[in-house]
Amino acid sequence: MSMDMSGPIEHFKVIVYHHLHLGPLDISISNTAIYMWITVLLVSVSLHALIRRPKLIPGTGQLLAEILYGFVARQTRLNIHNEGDKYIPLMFTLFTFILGCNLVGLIPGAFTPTSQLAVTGTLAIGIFTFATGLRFYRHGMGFFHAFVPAGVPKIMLPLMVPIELISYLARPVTLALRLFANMTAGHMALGVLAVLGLAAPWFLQWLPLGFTVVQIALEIIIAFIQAYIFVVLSCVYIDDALVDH
Amino acid sequence: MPQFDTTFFSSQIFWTITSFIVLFVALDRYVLPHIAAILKKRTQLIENEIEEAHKKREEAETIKSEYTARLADIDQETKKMFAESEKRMSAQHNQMMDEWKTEMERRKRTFLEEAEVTRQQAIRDIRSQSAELVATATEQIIHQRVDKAEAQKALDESITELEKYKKN
Repeated sequence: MSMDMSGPIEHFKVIVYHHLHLGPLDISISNTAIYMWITVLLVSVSLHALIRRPKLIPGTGQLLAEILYGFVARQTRLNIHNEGDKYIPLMFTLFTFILGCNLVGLIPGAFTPTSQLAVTGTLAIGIFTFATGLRFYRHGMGFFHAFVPAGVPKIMLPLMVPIELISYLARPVTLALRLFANMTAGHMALGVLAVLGLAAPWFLQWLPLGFTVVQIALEIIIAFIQAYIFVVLSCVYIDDALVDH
Repeated sequence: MPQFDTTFFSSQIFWTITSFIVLFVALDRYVLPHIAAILKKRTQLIENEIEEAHKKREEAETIKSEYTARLADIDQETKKMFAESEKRMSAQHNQMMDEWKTEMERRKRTFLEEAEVTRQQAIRDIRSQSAELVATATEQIIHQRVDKAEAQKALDESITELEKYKKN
């Protein structure tokens, strides 16, 4: 979170450190990429360190890693019926990636990758594409049965099919926007409070700055909740792709 | 808002996908197998322990039922032994009582026989001594000598008379 006085949306700006192209594709290294690398490094190194020498009776670090894994595994098994175990690695990666990106952004002066629509959109579209591909793979042309709800009178179909189609296509949009909006709003609120704190007279500065402490605690909780919601909804979409309609 | 600026979308999408894949590979190769293995091992251990506990419990139940059955057998055996012992003691007691009674009968008979012999001997002794006494007394009274055979005869007659008198 940037503490400059240039406004609460300044710290969402993408800063390119090194211009890079792969053919026609722009793959410039920006603060988004750097903070995602930091997230990947922190998550993989810390988890590897915690679980490097696993013991039957776990220490605090191992226990933390196991609790995190157990939580994601339980949610995956609960929401993807019968085949949950297969998707645990994917969901664990998704959860730790989003959670890491959310928490990295809470370090003062850091950048939040999940406050970027392109990042949350990529993750959401990735999951949506995966679920859609899975549904095609499992059901073939039966894929389209999902857009025709059972028991609906034929006269209602011209109305119901577009509604179902829109609702289906809205999934990645809502998934991406929810995470993006939460992270943006939280960091904007933090930025506003910090700016207010710095701009206030010296005897009133404690009030907004005190609130930033409370807000950061709230943001930590939101970081967990948003990662959880993203993973649970991803599981629901995958489960929906696996079951017969 | 800067997030809607599409200029950086391609690089952001590229690095999001790359970072996610790198994290997925790293976790799938270096973290998740360790966690899954240790959790599986622990689950296996707990299941084994539970199974072992079930076995021990079943063994204990078997031992308990065997013990109860043995106790019941012992109880039965004890009762049987007591009954046999009581029966044997009773038989022994009866036998001893019979033997004692027989012995007492024999002793009584012997005693009576001996008493009869003694009485007969005493009677004979008394008769004999009385005859001499009668002879001596008669001799002194009548100054006539009576031999022992006559005295004996007189005494026997007297005794016979006395017995007759006694019977009448």
